[in-house]
Amino acid sequence: MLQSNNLSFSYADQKVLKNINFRAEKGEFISILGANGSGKTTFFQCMQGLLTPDAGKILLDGENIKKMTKKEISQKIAVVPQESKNIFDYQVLDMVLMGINPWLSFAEQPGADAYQRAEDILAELEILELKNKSFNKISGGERQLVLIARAIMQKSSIFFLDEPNSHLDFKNTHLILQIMRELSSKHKTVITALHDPNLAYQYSDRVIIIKTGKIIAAGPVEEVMTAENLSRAYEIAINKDSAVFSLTFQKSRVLKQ
Amino acid sequence: MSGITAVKKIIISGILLITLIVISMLIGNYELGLNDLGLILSDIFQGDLQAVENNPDWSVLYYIRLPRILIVVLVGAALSISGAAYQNIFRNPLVSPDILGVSAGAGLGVALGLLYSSGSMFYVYLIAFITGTAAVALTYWLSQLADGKNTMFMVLAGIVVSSLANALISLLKYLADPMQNLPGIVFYLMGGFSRSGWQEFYLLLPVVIVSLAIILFLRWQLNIFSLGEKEAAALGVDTEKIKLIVIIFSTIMVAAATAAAGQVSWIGLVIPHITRFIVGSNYKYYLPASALLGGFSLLLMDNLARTISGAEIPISIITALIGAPFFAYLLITKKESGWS
Repeated sequence: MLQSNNLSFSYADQKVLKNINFRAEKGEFISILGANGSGKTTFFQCMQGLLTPDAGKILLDGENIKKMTKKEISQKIAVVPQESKNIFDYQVLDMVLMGINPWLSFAEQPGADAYQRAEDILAELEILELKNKSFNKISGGERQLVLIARAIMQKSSIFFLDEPNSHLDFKNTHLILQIMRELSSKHKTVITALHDPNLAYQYSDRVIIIKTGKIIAAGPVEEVMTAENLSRAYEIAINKDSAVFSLTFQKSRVLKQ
Repeated sequence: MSGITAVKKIIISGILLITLIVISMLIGNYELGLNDLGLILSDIFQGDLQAVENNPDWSVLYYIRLPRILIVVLVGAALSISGAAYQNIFRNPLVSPDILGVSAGAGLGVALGLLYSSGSMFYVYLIAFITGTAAVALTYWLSQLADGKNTMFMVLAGIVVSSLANALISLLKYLADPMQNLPGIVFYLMGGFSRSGWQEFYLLLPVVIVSLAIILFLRWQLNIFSLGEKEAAALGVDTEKIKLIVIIFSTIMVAAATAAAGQVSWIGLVIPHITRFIVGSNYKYYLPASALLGGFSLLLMDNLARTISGAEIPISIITALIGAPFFAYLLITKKESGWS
């Protein structure tokens, strides 16, 4: 369980987050929506313990995240970054193995059981055939899957994804989100920033809309994702009966066939 | 990965290195053949140490060639591993002890030590380490001030620091007594192994072994570190601690190598590149392979340095003459390898 109480954060004299109250329960799929620069990424980095807020408290399973080491946090929170190539290339299996690091002591190497587990996870995601390929040479969608495999390897209960589909095509976007949906049905908490409200509508239990560092709406999908809230968040006119959501349903039907 | 596994490639590198060590024992003005070597070995195995001691071949081998060969291998390994480690810590395939200014900084320390430490090699090592560390710290700080994310700025900051250290070295040369001290400093820094003896070897060995072992212990964390500090932190890596430890021990190795052999350029840049090309980036294979190939390449070049002409050619001339064109070749042919 992860929660923030009155979280505020500023860069220099610019206030980026203002009094954010947030709570994520076990097994929830939560999407964070907001225009570019609304503070989503900063919010994520605070919640992952990478940035220290100016005010407010973040509790991870009841413990103040400020007092936890990086290792302790990484045992409970896994971060799935946007896929990108590495400066130095590694094999896919090595990339997945890196996920076991939170459970190793300083300077310890992963053992045979970790190798086995990494292969099991790759098999479960149906990408075992990639294991000896070089991470930089597989496709963007495959890379994102490998990063999810690495996050699963971490054995943590909370998954953060920052716009996981930003480099992905239509099919891979839905594949990744379906996998995350499955994880949440296995009692993992999934918190993801998304650009596309359609995707949030389709996959989340709850949606939180952030605008200039403030939460302007939060709650179950049907309550929050109204034309009013969305046009407020993105400062565009949205017609209630417009094709925004119906388009998604058509798309998802295509996918399921 | 084509056919041969990384482990096999490391074993092959090891065999190549050992073969080259044996060949190097036989190279030089004093003629020594494989049969002479066999004779010495059989005397040793038969316990006839008296005969060994009286054999002039043994004196050449044991007092001149062997310590030199071993020091060359250690220096080559140290430079190449520190280059490999710097590249991961700074996430930049273009950095090396030369480019970060560590070599020049350590060179400044060596010059200072030679001038003012009344001949104690221990102090030369110590001062070289201090100035080498100061140089890498200054480079890092400057690049952070300019633009922490841009890999080019670190290279540029390194150029600034190198120039500064080299200017100070020139100042020391200018101030040094032209009859007594100047030639010593000049030839020392140009690099070479002609003065290598067992004493230098025993000073260098523990430094390189300990630093190498520590970096090897952290090989797994170094892999993760190269993904970027934020990503590594999210995977539970204590990034500040790893960075500090690896920079300190890499710098110790460069300082020790510079104190033992002068400013040997290019090895720390070119060998890590070639190694990555051969065994990939996983430090589990990459570090041992870098060490073996670093030792191998420098030994090859030192053999050239002492046989090409009647007089010995300073090693830094050879490493630059071979390393610079080779790196140019890598730049042209490996555009896609993530340099930006």
